[in-house]
Amino acid sequence: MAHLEARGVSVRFGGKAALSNTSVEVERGSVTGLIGPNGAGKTTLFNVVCGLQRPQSGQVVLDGWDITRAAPHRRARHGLARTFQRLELFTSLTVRDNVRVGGDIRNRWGRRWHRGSDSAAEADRIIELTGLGAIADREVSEIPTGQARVVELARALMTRPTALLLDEPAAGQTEAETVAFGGLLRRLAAGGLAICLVEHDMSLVMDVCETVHVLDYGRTIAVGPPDQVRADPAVIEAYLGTPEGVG
Amino acid sequence: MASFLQYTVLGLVIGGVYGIAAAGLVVTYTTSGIFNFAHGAIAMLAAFSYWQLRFGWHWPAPVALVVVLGVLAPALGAVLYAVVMRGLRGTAEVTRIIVPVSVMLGFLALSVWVWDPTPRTPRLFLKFFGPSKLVEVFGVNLTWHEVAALIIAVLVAVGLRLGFYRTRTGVAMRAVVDDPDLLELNAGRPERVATASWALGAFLAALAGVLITPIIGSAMSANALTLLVIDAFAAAMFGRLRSVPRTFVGALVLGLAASYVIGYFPADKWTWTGNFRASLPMIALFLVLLFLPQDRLRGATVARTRERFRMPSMRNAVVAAVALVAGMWLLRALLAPTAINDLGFAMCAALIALSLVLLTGYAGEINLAVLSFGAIGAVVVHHWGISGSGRDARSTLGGYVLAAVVCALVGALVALPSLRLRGLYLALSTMAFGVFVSNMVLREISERKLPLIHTRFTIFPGGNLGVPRPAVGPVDLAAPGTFLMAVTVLFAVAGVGLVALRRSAYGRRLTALRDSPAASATLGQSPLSLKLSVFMLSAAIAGVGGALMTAQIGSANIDRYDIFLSLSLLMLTVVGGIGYVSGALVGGILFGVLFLALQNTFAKLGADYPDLDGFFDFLARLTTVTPALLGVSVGRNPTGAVERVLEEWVPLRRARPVLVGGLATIGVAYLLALNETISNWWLIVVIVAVALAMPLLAKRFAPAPEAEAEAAGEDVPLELVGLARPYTDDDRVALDAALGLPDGRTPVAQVAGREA
Repeated sequence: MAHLEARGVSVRFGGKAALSNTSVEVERGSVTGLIGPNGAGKTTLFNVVCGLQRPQSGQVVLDGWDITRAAPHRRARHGLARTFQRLELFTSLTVRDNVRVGGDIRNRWGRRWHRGSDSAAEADRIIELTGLGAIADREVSEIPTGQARVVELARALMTRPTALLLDEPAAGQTEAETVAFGGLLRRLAAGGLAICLVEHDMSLVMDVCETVHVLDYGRTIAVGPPDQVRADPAVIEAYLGTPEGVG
Repeated sequence: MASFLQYTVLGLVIGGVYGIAAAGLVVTYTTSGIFNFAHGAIAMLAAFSYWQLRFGWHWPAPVALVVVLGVLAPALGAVLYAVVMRGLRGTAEVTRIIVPVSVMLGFLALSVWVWDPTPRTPRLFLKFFGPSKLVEVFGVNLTWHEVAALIIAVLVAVGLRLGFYRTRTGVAMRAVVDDPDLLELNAGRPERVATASWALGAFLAALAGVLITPIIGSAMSANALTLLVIDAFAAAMFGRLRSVPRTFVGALVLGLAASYVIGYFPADKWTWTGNFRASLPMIALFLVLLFLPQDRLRGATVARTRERFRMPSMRNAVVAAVALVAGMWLLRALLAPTAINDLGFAMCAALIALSLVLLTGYAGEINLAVLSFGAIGAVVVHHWGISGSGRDARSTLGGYVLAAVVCALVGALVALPSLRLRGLYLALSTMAFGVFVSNMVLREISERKLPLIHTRFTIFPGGNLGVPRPAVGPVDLAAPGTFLMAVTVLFAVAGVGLVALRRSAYGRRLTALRDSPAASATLGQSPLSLKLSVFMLSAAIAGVGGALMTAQIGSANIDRYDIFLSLSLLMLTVVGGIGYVSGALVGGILFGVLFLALQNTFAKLGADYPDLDGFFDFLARLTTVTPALLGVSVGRNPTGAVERVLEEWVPLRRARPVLVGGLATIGVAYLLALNETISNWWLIVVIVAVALAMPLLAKRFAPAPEAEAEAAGEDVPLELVGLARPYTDDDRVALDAALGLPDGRTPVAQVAGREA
């Protein structure tokens, strides 16, 4: 069984089905991509997995534990972390404190030997790892979006997660930043993390993902390795429209 | 059976009027996102204006009605939105609560100014169509006024429902809540829609005010009418502040319950019946809160609020604390005993305000009834914290510790039902709690035999709560000067403690939860337990502060813990700067001393210069409205006054001579005042003059060094180049490199030419 699984998740907003019977599996040590046009339900699926949105039906299983009904903070304590597409940084803290507070929070719930760990030293280490050293003492409201997304990743890593959900982390990054970011993701996955990546930047998705799920109107329309998915007619149709429409 | 019918119909009448008021609240809240705490105050102003026109100046009723309901009220609502409320976009929830609260306090002060609260002949507000003509409906005798109220309530309910769903304006009103920007893109005018809805809301408030005043009693009370907002919001809560039909259902339930309590709870046997009736809306509110479904965890509501609070350094906090204690020590030698008592009161208020800095400034939660926790602290010390008797009675350290513990527990009970909901709900339930404490707990002035434990007990004996000054071990703090210093030291220590707390992991977690609950939860923070812990800590501080405040004045009656005083203290703390410990000091001193001193000064000046008495009388009355005006100004400067002063004084760091010179001048003036060469007033003049002059001189003699500006320019992010500093060739090279363009050095024109 995969480390993180969403099984048959359905969410409706009023009469509109945001997700219908969608399933995703994420293995440890790999990056799983989740792509699809805007409004396909990718962020909604993330919200369901991390507990910010209750599904009408379906299950979320993390590490063999059914977390469908668990509160968001319980899931986090079980090893789930995420970043937000609409940045959710703590705007009155510096970059360093944004990262550090992840450790402060974990110190309150981590297992006994985690408790009282030095959140400052660990934050420094993560800031080094993610290459945020140069802007560590700036206010988060001053830094460019691309770097703010890295801060979100760094903050998420402070909880020492086993599964990581990244919501469009490359949006707003420069090409050079994205390339470096892809390298970082591969290293994190190699360290045993289960990563699920929502992204519009296809070069990044093709570069780092082992498996790609394609969503359209809340349904999974294709699953497979990046090359295979890219050639899938249903995917091309979803992204480019029908041949008649294009022609 | 006949009496049951009678009570039912009367309940429906009262409920109908509550419904009209509550519907107005819903209309303004849904269209502007601002909860109008001044809703009851508008009803109050309308009722008083109508009284003035109809019974004061004997205008005909229809004309007076048209003027009040058709012109004055809608105009007031529209102006209120256009001038004050519209400026609240992009501010934190605290600001969006404080500003309407200030407006409410301002209206209240205004009504006291215009309509003497203790008139020689009581104001009579008669029912419409005459008080005595009765009409029989279903075997129940009603006045025409009550019949009209019922019919109007039905018309309003139906009209609003149709208006919201069937008219363009109604649909636009609903759209403006969801997304004002989107409405604007669709050629709607969100500002005009919101202004219209505030006019409508004010009209409904005025209508309710004019209808209910003769029903609830002939004597007109500004406070009671202003608190109509609580009945209204309890009703509106049934509809989750959104649905008009459910709001009317809630209002009818409240009206019926109130009517049945009057009818079937024997007032002669149960002395608490009247108090219970007055508390019904609060009780209903708590019950409704218990059953509301959990809110979705929200992200940051606005990308970046306008409030900016810096992180204070430990060193500055300690220096400021020492300076405060030293300054108070020096000041004490100058002051008359009465002034020392006033200052002691102000420092107790500042201590209570500290609890607000922790709760609101650090954690972003709101407590509108902080003095009610103070009252509970005082009750605890009064009953269980006094040793000795007569002149030797002292309150004990153990009493204050117990007060802190009890207040923390009560705080937990108050906060628990609403913590899982939005911040506004917590604010509303604390306000309801405050009125509940004033209505039921503090009116428990006669002895009661407690069931089960068979002891006799009085919560608030004789309507006066005596708390003697404290003694800690062998140290007696009873003398006014000693007590002032003790409270000042306590404030300084608690203030440094709060700064340390803010800089700790706990403080960072609070900030994180305030900035983005959703992100905080996905990191593993349980929002409920953190909010609960900070609310309990804050309630404990408020309880100790309230007990000390009672000890300062010796004995207090119920008015000392009034909800309006709680609101004023919160408002003045926000004016000072709710994110800072020094904001609490400013708030406490404004609350305790400044306005009192100003009023006394004007009264004294009026007596000295009888010719100008009218003018000084006007100024003295103006000071009663000033706090509210300050509060309204928070909308423009939500970070508070302290922040501005600090910014002004930043250049002083570079201009040490100016700083030393200024302090020396104050020192000399102090010594002169001490040996009574000059009066204290001159000392104040010197201090104010120096405080104003120092920043100006510092800017003049130590302008910001150029080097600093250049150094700041070096790490300007690439996308800000050209805005933050001039655009240079080096920047273009860097840009080209970042974009992966081939030859960075080639000017744009040449590239274009080559391609052509």
